[in-house]
Amino acid sequence: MSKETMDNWVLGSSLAFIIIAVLNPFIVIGKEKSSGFKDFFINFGGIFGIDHHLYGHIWVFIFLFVIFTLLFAYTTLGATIAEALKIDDYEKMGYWVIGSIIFFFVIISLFFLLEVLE
Amino acid sequence: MVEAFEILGHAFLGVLAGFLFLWAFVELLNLNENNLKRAQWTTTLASISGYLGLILGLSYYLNDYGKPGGDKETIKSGDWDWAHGFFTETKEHFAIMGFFLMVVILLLIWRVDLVGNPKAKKMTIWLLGALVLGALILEGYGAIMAFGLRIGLGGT
Repeated sequence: MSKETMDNWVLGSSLAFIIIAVLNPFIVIGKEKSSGFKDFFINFGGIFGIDHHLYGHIWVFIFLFVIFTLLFAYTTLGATIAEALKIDDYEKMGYWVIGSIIFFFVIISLFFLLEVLE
Repeated sequence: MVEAFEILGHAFLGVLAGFLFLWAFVELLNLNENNLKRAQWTTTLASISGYLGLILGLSYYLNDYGKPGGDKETIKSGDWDWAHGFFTETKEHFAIMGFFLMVVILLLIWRVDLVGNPKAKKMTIWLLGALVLGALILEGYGAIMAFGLRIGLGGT
């Protein structure tokens, strides 16, 4: 998918969303398993006024989402990644976004299910 | 009082967002020049409702739910302690993704010619469907949390 055949901002935000959705389960598991990792997010939330891991988590993701969206929208990196993933139209981008949501939801659900069953 | 406003507002705005996304989804299925504006504004209103609902839910979660003696402790003290262990934990992280998916859908619906580009329209329909389903899942999980709280308070 080139930037000429897809809107820059849709390309950038969709790829940023996919990256965050794939990254998120590992961050969640890391936070649950490592107190140091969790402390990072608590401290990060503290910068914005609330010492809470979820608050810090959201701010980290907002920054990542904005940075990735701008990066993919304004450089050729977004088009290169889309090409590597064989995303050559909006429809395929939609499937990737849906796929990343399903991946995220399944991993998160399995993780917390196992935590409850332990 | 503030807690009640946050939690009731959160649930109401979440349902409203889900219905509005469903409305936009149906508009997209039969999209033409005449209903494009309606689809765009319905999606925008749904997103505003979704954002406000998420902010209220986050405020409740940070200021009331997890505090000592708060609802989290009550749920965990009851027989439905898994209502927190699974449903709250999953819901809080699932909801974060809603923040970002709504940005993608707003960019899609306002910046791309959906009437003239069937593939872009299809992507939008898929994402709106995911948002409707996501809203339903989050509402259901919230209901289970409420039942968990009721059980924790000694109800049946």
